[in-house]
Amino acid sequence: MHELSLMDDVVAAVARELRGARVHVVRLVVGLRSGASPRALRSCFEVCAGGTPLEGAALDIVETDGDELWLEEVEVS
Amino acid sequence: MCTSRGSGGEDGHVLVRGDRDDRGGAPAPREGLGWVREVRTVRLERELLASNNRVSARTRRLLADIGVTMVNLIGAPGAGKTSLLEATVPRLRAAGVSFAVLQGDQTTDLDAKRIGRAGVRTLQVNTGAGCHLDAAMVADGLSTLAPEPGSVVFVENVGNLVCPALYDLGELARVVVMSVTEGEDKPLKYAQAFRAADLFVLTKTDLLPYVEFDEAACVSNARRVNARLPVLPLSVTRADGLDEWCAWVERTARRP
Repeated sequence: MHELSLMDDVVAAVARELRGARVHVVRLVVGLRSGASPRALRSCFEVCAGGTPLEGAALDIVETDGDELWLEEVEVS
Repeated sequence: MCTSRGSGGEDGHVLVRGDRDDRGGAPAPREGLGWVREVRTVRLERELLASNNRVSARTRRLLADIGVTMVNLIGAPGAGKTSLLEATVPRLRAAGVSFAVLQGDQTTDLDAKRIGRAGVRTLQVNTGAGCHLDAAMVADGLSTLAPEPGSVVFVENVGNLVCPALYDLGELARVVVMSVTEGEDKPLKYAQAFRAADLFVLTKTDLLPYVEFDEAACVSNARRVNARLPVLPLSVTRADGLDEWCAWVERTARRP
């Protein structure tokens, strides 16, 4: 389950960069050839986001045919 | 559940992608959020593996400074990674190459003991539930192992062709190890592992008479994902190809 450690990194990075903001959406770009599974990433997100400023945020994964594994943007207020 | 993303072939064949989700696109707006404060979008545009890759880049610099060559061996359980290293020990020693082994396994130190019996400095890193070694584990392991300047460090990754392929450890070269019993389509099924490799070692060639394995097709499949991937067939049992393997290691190793 490398998706769990990937998602841990995402949550930590967003919480660090956007301290104090309310995070509504986290958007990733995940390619078919990236070696990471969107489904597994989704199931890890809730676990990793729990108890952080990202708790309750939605995870949006843009799926491509490439090898991207990318934290694209976040929607915050 | 995922069949809407499946593609129906003319022969009625339906491809169902178990790792994809139907809930593509932006999630529905949720009530109570964003009404009071304006929602803005912040572009972050960074790799998901950024934190791992910072550590691996540092490891690569540190090893280069002391002339240490780290080789990352990736392969499925039973591919023959440990046996290959065991057979490598006396040959590299005879060639005057100093080396150490960092063993990654979920649990146990059986592999480290196997290699250690051959008289090589070995450190076992247990990943617990983790399915791969990451750059931080290897950096910690290296500080304990303290490889001598000019030496070679082999990292035997956790037996797995999926997750280890994503994690740069700071190695100078990556070797994918696969045996002839695994099937010639493996390079296509586990493309990431083959795409990121600098050498493909095909093991257990002594078993070729007993298995249905099309070596040419396997090589062709590997080159479809990594066009210039060198392939080195070998048999530890018959000591075939081991000289070529050791020659590759010596060529790859930095001269102090």
